[in-house]
Amino acid sequence: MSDLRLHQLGKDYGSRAALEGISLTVGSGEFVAVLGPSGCGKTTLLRLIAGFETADRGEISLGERRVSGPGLHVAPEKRGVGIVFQNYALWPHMSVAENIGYSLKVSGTPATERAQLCESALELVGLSGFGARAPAELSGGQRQRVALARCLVARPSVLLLDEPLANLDVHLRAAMEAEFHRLHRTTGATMLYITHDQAEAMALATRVAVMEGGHLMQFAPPRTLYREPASEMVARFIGKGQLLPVEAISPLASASTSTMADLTVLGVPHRLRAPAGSARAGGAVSFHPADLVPAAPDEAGFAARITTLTYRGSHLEAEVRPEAAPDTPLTLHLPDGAGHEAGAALRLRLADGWILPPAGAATRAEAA
Amino acid sequence: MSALSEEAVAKGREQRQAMPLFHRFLPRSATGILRPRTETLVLGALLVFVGLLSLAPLLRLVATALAPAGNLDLSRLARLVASTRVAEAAWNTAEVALASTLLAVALGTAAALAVCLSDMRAKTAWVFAFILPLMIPPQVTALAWVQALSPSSLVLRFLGIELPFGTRHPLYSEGGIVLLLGLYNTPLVFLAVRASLARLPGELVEAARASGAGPLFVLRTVVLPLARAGVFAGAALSFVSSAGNFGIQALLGIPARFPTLITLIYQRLNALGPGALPDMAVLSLLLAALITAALMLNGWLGRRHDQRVEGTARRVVLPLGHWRRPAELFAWVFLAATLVLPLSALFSTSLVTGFGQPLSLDTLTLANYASALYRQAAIREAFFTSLWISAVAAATLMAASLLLGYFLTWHRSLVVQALQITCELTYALPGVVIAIAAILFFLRPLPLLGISLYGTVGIILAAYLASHLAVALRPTLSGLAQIDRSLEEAAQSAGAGFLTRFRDIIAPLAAPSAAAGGIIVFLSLLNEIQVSILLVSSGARTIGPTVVFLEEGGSSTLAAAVGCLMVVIILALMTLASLLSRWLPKGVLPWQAH
Repeated sequence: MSDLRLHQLGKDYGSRAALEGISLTVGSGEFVAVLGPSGCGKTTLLRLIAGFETADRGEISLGERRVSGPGLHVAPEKRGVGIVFQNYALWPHMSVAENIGYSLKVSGTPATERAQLCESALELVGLSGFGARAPAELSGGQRQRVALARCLVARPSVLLLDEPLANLDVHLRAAMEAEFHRLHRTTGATMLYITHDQAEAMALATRVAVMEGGHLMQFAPPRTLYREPASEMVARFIGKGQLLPVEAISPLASASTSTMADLTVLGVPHRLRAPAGSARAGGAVSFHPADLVPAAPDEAGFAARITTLTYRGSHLEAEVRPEAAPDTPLTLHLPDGAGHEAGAALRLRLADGWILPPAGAATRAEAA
Repeated sequence: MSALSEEAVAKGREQRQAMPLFHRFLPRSATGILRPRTETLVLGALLVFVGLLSLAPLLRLVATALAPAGNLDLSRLARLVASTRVAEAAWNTAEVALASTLLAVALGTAAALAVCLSDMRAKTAWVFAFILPLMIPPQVTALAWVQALSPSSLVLRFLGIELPFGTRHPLYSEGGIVLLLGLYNTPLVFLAVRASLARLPGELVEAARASGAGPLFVLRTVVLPLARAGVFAGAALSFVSSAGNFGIQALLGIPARFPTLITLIYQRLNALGPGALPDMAVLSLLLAALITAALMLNGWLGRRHDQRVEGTARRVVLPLGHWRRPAELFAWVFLAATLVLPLSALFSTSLVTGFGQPLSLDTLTLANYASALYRQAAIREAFFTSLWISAVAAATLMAASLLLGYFLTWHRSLVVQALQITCELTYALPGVVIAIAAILFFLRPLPLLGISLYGTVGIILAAYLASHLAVALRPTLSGLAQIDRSLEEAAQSAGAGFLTRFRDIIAPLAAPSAAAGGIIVFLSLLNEIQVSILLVSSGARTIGPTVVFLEEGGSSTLAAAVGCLMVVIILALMTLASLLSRWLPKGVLPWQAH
């Protein structure tokens, strides 16, 4: 299984750039998710890698082989890339076995060997004995598995998955997530998984590429995206992230890339995580609802007022407005039964948070 | 990848840099070396197919008419337009086409409203019979009507109506032409209006009724305004069809001495031979210009107040109440008068030996059928020629429409769209125009072979392929549109090249639609007359024009027998296609109710 490398990839639709400056390297056997809101260019990216669209700029390499570059466009059928479509794209006029064996038939594999490989592919996805059925007789989850088996049997250099769980109901999704995990472990295939669902991306992928507006915003392991977003967009997009302005950032000296920094949030001194670097007059802190907590009586905190309370079972979700910044509503979790009421005043502080790197630093982080 | 292919890539790039302009037109193959892909070759073949059969003859026609010596020369055009005979024919053509379209729109729209919105009973049977005249060749229709309303008509006599002997036949007149053209095109309008009514969201009608509007008020204020796109589309089809309808214009117009453009072309070409071709090219262009002007006017009128409706189509019923029985009675009487009356006249004429003979047990004879099927070799051969030529054309056009449809659906480019426009144009132009273009283009001997197609079956087949590609293309396109693009892409990423994908995925999935297209092509070519009337010769004769020749030669009873046989064959094929309709996509057989 080879790796996938994209270098400064760009694609225009008319005068609009659908993708711009995408550079990333997917290691052999890695499971990478491409995550972004609809229209961010993630499907275009997948179609460029598969070869269904021609890149306008940049290069694509599969292993040692360059498949797209200036003046070069290898046809999709010559790329050896597997693709699982959102609607599965099973051929309705062929049986399950014929669907799975098609790439082998095209490559001229003898019928007996083909049958063997089909059967083991069906076994791999847990559908032994389904070969003679028609796709129309299968349930959504089973079709998904056939589509996967059809790709895996061809031993693709890269397996592209286009929102494969989007058409399944909630129960099946969890089961298929586990299935993807298992298949990735057993086959060691390099997988690129397109999704708009961040829970899916975070659960499955070793690394996630976050995209917006045709740009790659950050490419990092899920934990890094959650804890150390590189930009405002990623911070807000991942895990209901929130932002507040901070002042007087002075990082503590550190040898590593991230460190702690002293700063003030809405006039209240805090010590929070920050990228290494020099002192700055201002910036923004990103945090999640669970990081915003009521201040203990002996701790400094900023005053806020509860505007709404929503019962969420395990907790109350509170929307508050800080008195120092009434136009910035914040969300936090409060324990149920603690006597909180809408309209009540609170003193809050950040238990954890990440100071965003200065704008412009993010683009350097991507290339890594 | 090996160093060797890296080298090849580098080499390929050098070549491309050497030919910067050329390489833009050729997609690159896997290794990047300049080599046309299979897709490109197939598209090239389609270009040659459409270019040679449709575009080149039409260009030749325009060149002959407007620039015979290579540069623009309008003297011929000026001379012909100034001639009273031509001006009269052009005016007559416009007049009958317009008048018959108005008639067809009124009747067709009323029928579509009745079928789609009312609670009339036995709709399926009625629709089948109502569409049937469209499937019957117009020359047979004309013949049947002529015999039904002739002074010696057996049917009229049976009904107790007697026209005084010696009176001029009532249909040999402008009014007769308008009536028959209008009736002939009524199903065309019906189909177009029905299609737009089928898309009408039921909520819109229900909302109007809930606002207190009665059925007639809803019809006038909601249904008709929303169906106007269908009405205008039907009117356009009807106008084009009327202006180019040779069968009716010739069988009624020539005896009535009422010239139209196509009868004028036919008569002059018959009288003067190929020497008249340049003049006929000008007349063809006049006819094409007349039709284009009418279509543009129609398009302009139709676009004003055009409404796009959103929402899901659902059948709504506006009950006729106590008008239901009278309406049903009227609907069936209409069919009896417009279908049963002429066809029974045709049938009874085919059973006697001399036109005007009373039909009785003494005069009853099958001699005409024996002549048509056995004794007259020319007629029998014409039947066989029509059969095989229609089959070959249908099969060829099925394949061509699958390939062209593929490019139109998924690889639209300017070239592909130009191909589509060309075949739509060749389809919209009257068959006589296509025939003149084909003669002009194929008269000279073919290069390399040194033989001329003119006077052979080859030229008829070539003109058929040109004029009917659009007929095959339409259902194929709607079938291809139902196929999800990812089905082909999945095969592509499985490593299948173009021809493999086409054979394994696209052709099987689109086959039912292409087959439907093939069936319709076959049905319309079997009795075709507009194109072949100018192309047939003693060596190559089809059955469509044979009826006209027999009638012109005075063998009315034999013509009637041939006409009856044609109707029987059409009915048999329609029944066969209906039996196969389970495997065909919904809605492609026009005579089936939705």
